[in-house]
Amino acid sequence: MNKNIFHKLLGVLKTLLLPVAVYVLFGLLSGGRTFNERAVTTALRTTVQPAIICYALLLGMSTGVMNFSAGAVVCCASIIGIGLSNMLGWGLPGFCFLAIVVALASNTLFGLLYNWLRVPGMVLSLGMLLFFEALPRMFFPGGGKIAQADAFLSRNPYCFYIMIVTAIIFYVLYNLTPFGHNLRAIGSNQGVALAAGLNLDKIKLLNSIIGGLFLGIAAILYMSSQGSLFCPSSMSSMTVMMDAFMGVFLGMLLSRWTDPSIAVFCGVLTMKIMSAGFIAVGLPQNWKDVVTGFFMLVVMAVSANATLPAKIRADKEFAAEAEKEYRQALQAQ
Amino acid sequence: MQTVSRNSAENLEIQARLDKQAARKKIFENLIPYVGLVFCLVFFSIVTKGLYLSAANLRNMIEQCFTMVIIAVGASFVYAQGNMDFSIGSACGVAQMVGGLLLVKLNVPIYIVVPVIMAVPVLSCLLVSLISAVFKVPVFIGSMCIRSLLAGLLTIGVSKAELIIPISDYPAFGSNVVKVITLIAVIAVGAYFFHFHRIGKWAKLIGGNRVTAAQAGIRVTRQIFLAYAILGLCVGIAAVFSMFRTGVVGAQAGSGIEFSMMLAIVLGGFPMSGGEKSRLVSAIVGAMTTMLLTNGLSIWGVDPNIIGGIKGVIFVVIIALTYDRSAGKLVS
Repeated sequence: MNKNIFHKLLGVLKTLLLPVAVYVLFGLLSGGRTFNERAVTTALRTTVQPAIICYALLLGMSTGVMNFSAGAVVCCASIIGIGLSNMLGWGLPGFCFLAIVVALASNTLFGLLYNWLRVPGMVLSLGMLLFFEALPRMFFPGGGKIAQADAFLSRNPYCFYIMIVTAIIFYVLYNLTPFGHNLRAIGSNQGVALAAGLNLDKIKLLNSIIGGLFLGIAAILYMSSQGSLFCPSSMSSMTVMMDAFMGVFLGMLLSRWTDPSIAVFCGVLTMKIMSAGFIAVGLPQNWKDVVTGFFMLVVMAVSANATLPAKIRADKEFAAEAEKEYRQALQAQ
Repeated sequence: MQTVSRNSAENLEIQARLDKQAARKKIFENLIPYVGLVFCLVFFSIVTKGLYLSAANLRNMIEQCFTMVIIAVGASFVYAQGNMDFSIGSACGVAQMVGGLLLVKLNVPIYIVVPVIMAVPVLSCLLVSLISAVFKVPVFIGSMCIRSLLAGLLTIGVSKAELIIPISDYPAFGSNVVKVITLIAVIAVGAYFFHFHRIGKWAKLIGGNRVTAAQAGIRVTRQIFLAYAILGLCVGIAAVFSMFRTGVVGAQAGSGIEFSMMLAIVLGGFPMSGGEKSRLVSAIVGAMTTMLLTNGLSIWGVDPNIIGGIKGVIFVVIIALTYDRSAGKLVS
């Protein structure tokens, strides 16, 4: 077997080890209650929509832009998309088309404002979050509802087809196109990327638009899985992106072994298995936010300090070498 | 290439013109927050046909401003360092929940309940600072996680039923005299520490340049902890009075305070990045403007859920007008 392919497969296996280990752990803790096909399928199915939001977030974070309005865009696209589709009688194809159009338009607006105003994306996204939460209420104050016959895209096996197609699109865009390379160049060092002749504004805007495409797909799945949605308010849309948010950071930790398209999926899957596992071991549903927040903190702390052990080791080696040279110099004197 | 030569008189003239422009810009920047405050008062008085300035609504506005101004005083120290805390709303809610549980369910005496309510946000803010200063997690994300955690705790605490506080048993907390004295005391102490004490001066120095501050011998981490503790204390005071004002602790307790605070900071002309331009009065004026705006839109008949969107747009506009764009295209 080609050595390169072997290493890639090994990386994928290493990445998969985390969700598998968490699954086994919670399976044992719950007395084997999660050791069945249904539990596995449910965990995989609920992973799809946050994983697709993850791809949108990851694109932004590759250039250092943290977009907190992603959850609000998903809600906004779901409600306006289904509302317009019901109004026009366009059915499921119309909903899919309109949800993607609304998400694309929302993220394009974000990208344009970001380029125009030159304020940090994190700060801008907070204002935009409130705007996108209020937007569907202006047109569809009662929220949105999808016909039961049309709400099958989030079910098995359709959601997995969508996931595979989306993951392939992300993989190709991120790894095999100049756009993906430019993103990583900007993420590594914006100043150098600018000096090298990259058009930062154009790439960031395109990045935002492509992120909108992923959010549009997530919006379709979100509406399909929920059946009906109320308009979000007071930043409640943050909960929509919280799972994805954690998945991104966990995925970034795992991406040292494999491609981000697989790593973020495994990251979200781990979180989903954990959430389901806590309920299986008897933790009330209400504790989900607490557990999520806590694990997010742990993941962030680990992620932020991932290079610390290597740095400490390198510092020690450097100190030992300096000490050795100093002693040699003393002896020479 | 053509060279431009100027004599000293021309140079002085150019310098004088630039100085004048800078002075004009500074006056404009200083005046804008006050203009915004007056504009809110005048605009909403006109569109609501005087209802905005009715005695009942004025009382209501003063009550709302009271809480926000107290939190703004504490937030000034954190924002002056270039930090922020996105969990203060949830911390305020959890503090009220803990206070409510102690008071209603466990019949704990009020002199124990009040310090406990004040201690909860202090602990929460210290946790945020610990995550930021020690574990090096970006403060925005760290405080978001704490917010999620605290919001979950609040939901659990009031999941069975909302806590009804017997406010008539504690008239002191509803007394306007007590509130005025508390407000004056908090502002006076805050102003002293912010402008005349090393805590405030060092906070601005840390916001200006953290590395320089550390090189100058300031224990940056300790100062960050201190600033967050002050913020927590102010949120705690606000939580005590909020609990006795509303008389009910539900899942929505304290919600929205964090964004209102950010909006207040921006509207008041307080620099988001902190530093030497930070002024306590900016945060206070911003807090008052935010409350007047929220109240005005509500009295005007705007859907409360749309108000959030309007606040978001105003936030973006003000940020666009005031943000330092020296980073140019390299902003992230």
